Amino acid sequence: MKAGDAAAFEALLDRYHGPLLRVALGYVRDREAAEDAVQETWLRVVAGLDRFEGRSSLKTWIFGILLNVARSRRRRDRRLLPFSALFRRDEPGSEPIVDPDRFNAEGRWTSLPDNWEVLPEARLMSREVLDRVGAAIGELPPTLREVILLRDVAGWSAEEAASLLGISAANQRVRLHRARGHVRRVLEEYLR
Amino acid sequence: MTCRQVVQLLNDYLEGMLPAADRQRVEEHLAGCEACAAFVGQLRASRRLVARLAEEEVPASVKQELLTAFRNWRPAGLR
Ligand SMILES: [Zn+2]
Repeated sequence: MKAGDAAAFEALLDRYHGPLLRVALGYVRDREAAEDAVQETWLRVVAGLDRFEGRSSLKTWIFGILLNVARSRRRRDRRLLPFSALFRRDEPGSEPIVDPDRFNAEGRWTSLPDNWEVLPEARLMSREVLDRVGAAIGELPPTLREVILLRDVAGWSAEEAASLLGISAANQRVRLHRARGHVRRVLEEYLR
Repeated sequence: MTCRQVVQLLNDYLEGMLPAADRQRVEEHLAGCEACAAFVGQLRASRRLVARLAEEEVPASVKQELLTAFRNWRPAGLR
């Protein structure tokens, strides 16, 4: 790669561009801004390759750059957000994983969860469902959003995500639990 | 273990983070409870959907631009 192997760089683009774009979308205001952040990330990767010493993996290094770029852009964007967008009381991800009234006094389900395995794959994996999933992640508070993006979109391990975000293993787990819980909940309402 | 308790443990279960004793109790419950089994199925399907979000091609124009930037790049020592 350092010797200027363009094919290796192209493979890197193919592999990480999609995940980088999705993660960037979690930080900035829209798709255009996310594409911009990813572009800047790649240019920094190119410029920094000769200084990359392999102490971390290439993947960790690239995503670390993205997070720096995306976070500084978010700080810039935040000044443009309406006041109301910064303070919400019914914050997604803070709701219980399952509504308490779906269980009876003995703790058994009273309104059963649907079995999605009987849904046609084309329905479950349709564009509209995917868009709903993207929106559900987008409405999470940033602390929960970044965990589910790194873990389930970018495919990082629990240890990698906790270390990149500078949070404890326990904290990572709790955030992931709540973030995934929210996505499932939104989907359950949508697919009902 | 009740369904209400089980749903709270399922993310840790899927993460492989439950102590062996708890894991066994969860698995026993799932084997005998269709509702909780369906709920795990929902969690798994949600994860699959979230992962799909990352499947996106690099637009050809962006790729060309970045490859050009890469080709123009030279190790610092040769500059
Ligand atoms: Zn149950």
